[in-house]
Amino acid sequence: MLKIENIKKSYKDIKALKGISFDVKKGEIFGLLGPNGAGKTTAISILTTLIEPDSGAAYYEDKNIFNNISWWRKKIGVVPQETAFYEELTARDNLTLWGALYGMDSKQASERASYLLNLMDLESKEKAKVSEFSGGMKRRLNIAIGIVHRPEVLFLDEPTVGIDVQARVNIREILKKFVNEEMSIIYTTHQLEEAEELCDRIAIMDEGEIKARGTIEELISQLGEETEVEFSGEFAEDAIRNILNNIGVKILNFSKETILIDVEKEDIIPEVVELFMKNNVIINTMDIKRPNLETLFLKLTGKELRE
Amino acid sequence: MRKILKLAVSDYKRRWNKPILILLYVFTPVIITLIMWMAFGGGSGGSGFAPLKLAIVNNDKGGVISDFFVNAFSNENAKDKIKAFVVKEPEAMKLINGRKVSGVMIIPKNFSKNILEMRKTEIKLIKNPTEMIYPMIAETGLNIIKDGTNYLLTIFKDEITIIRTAIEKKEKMDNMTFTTLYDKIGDKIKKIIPLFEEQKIEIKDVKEEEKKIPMAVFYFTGMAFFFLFFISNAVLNDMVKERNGFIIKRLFLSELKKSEYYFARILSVVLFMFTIEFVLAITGRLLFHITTDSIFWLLITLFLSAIILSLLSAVIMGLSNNERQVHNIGMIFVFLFAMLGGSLIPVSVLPASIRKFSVVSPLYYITESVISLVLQRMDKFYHLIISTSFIAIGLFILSYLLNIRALKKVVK
Ligand SMILES: Nc1ncnc2c1ncn2[C@@H]1O[C@H](COP(=O)(O)OP(=O)(O)OP(=O)(O)O)[C@@H](O)[C@H]1O
Ligand SMILES: [Mg+2]
Repeated sequence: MLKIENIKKSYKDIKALKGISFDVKKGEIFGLLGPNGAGKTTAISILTTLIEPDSGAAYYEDKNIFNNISWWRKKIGVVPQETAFYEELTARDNLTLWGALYGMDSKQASERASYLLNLMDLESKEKAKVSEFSGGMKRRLNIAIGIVHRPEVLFLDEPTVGIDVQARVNIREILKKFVNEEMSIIYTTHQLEEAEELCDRIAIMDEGEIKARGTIEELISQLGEETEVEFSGEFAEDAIRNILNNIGVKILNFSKETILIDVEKEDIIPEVVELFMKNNVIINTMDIKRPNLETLFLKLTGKELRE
Repeated sequence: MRKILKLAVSDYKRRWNKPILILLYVFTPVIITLIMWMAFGGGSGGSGFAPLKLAIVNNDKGGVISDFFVNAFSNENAKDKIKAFVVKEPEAMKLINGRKVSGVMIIPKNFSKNILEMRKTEIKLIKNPTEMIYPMIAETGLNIIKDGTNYLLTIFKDEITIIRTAIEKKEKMDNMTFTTLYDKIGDKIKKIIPLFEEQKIEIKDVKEEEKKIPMAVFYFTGMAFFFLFFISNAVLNDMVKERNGFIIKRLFLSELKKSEYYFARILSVVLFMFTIEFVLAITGRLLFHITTDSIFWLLITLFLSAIILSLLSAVIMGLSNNERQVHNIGMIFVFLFAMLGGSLIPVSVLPASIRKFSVVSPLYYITESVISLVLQRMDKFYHLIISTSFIAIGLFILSYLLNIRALKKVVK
């Protein structure tokens, strides 16, 4: 288990991290979700020993990683936000180079390279120079290099940034295969769907702080908001208020064309619809608005999560 | 060790990524040398040289030996190699000041007489300061003729001895004897000149070889190292670029050590430079007939110079924080060292006050090593090789310290 305690970091007068704490369980994918400038890369750089924190500590297997840097470096894999490899070489050359630098002999390195090229769907371009790769392919190679030495903990810093939707989906599919590699993954992103789809637990970061953390369900319940339903149709105020008051549903907004109601439990919705029909209320459309990460994010940070 | 080799090999592979650029760098010195060749007088003679233009001032008109000199230089057979004009001194000065000729040869008064009387005498050679190679050729030509003269003097030893004894004993030689003797010598010379003229062919060949070697060896070696220094800077520039990117961090997150990284980089650049030097050496041999009997020492010299150039560039990289600084610091080093080291202008032509500082330039040692090897000045060569080795060790330590320090700034 990786345990991070109150890490702070300032660049001159910019407080990039104002004391962040979280822990990552073995084998889980932990998401750091935050907008540009939230401090995600700073956090990753500190945890991968590339920059030093001003204060705070981090423990892996009860050892302080900042005091055991070379031990820790062997355990981790890093996939930086910017792609980092030699574009003049082939993907295989890059993989075997890093394999060798991690102490593999040439046979091991070559086998691992073959496995990763296959896993990353790069086999067909094995002999091409990386400079001829598409953005998505470069991203996949970037990830492959990060896991060439089978790390226990993998840091992925926005691995899908700057590529098209198709390529993104593709990478997400590949990342799901990683479960086999039995790694803990720390994954930063500012993509909600990505966090929702991939991550077991999430920390929402903004301006150097962690605003909330937990599983997606926990986070949403933490929001303390209920599902809202919006109807459009033709409504007579008195009749409607009567019907809804009887079953204890709160009206948030009323007009002759639309009404917005608050439902504590979603199974009350069919009952509402049934009652409307019995009373000959004309309904054109119905829209169920469940609280989601986006609502939560907006509430916590006052920001929309967009690129 | 495996890590160093693997990194060095992949580094070396990457170097060949832009072959056109490398070709351009490699063949620029070749082209510059060729241009310089043609620039001497424009147009081209039989072997790519324009004929050497020489003004001869004969202040010893009618003298047997001086006539022979003039004759030798204006020989029909040598016309495509040397164009000699016999002119008066003021006119000759005009020619040289107008840079119309490569040199002026002044034969002093009583030249023939002095020689015949075994007195020391000298021929003045005024060199065109804008040209470096042709006057050298003239000098070589002159030397050959001087040797010829000395050879003649040996042939006429008997006659000369008679004259000399006569002079020494202050014996009065009657006019008759003197004239007879003089005529005799003249006859002998006249008979011998055609012989010489036939031999000329041989002499000409010797001259051609000598002409080619100094010129090409100076220019080509100098220019080659000048551009090689540029290449090694351009290649190692990567180290600075890499320090400012993420690749370096990724490298050091693995089990690679900083010293291993440094050794790998130097190794790959040395091998790369050596490869290019090898190509240049072959080109120099084919195009300019620059060659040596000792391939072993040539390879050693090339390898040492590859090391010197790589380490010099590594020092520049250690001093620079970004590519701009590489460019600026690099320029200063390249031009300063090239100028002092005889890459742009042969050291022998540099003003004495500047020449003193040549020893500061590592390029001086490698350029001179190659030149002295080619010219078979082996004593000088061995000295230079030893100095070069010491300089390499010094540069290695300096560049190691500077680069490790720079790396520490980037990754702990
Ligand atoms: N080397 C640095 N020097 C000064 N300020 C820095 C440096 N690196 C980061 N910062 C600042 O620290 C803050 C956090 O930056 P960081 O790169 O960690 O954000 P991020 O969450 O990774 O953003 P993004 O989504 O854009 O990658 C920003 O305000 C940034 O300007
Ligand atoms: Mg970032």
